[in-house]
Amino acid sequence: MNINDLYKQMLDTALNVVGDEAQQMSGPLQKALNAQKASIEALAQAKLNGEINEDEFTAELEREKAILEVELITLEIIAKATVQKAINAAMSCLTSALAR
Amino acid sequence: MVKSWLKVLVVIGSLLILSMSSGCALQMVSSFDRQTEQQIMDVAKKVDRFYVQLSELPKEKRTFHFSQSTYLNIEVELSALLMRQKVRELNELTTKQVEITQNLWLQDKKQHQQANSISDFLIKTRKQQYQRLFLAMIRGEQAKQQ
Repeated sequence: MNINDLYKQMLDTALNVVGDEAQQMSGPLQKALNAQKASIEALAQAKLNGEINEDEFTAELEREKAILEVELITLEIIAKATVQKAINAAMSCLTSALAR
Repeated sequence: MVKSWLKVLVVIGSLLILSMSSGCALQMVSSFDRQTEQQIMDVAKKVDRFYVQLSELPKEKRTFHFSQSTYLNIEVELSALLMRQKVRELNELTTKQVEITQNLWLQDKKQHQQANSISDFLIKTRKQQYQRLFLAMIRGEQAKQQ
């Protein structure tokens, strides 16, 4: 068994999994940032129109921070799940190679 | 650049050894839970319905008394969802998401109680904000699927 080839194969397998998931990560991040941008714009407009006062505007910005935190936690979950998949794919590759 | 790749390889190597020695797959996040996904979807639908109903009422009828039972029902559903997350292993992140959502819901209940009404602007904003929160939680849960 060629150890170099085996590790290259393991790394390729892991990177393939990460590559497939990269799109999954960038999509939610972009959506979260766009949603927040739209929300902040709506808040600023509401303040200009007199629909909310200064205190309400500040409170709403605090809410936006909390919402963005929830959205970013999702990215953290996706990242951890991706690393988990990559490591397990590499391990499965190693186990198969050793069993041959 | 080379150093950071070496670090990544060392981490991967360590995890592999750890994984081999424990004889099982590496687990960094909780396993996917279909019931959690369904619970999030159910409560999301109820919150959405609540704001749609409010938006159809004239402002003077959007009293706290009118909405009180819905606030309580959704509060109970969020508590049940939180309880389920707390008993799952490696589930701190989803638990945190539900805690934040529950706190926002309690804030909104208090705000509605104090003002005894809710504006069109706030209804529209809350509806969109809760959609974002529940969507984030659903996406997080779905990412755990193998």
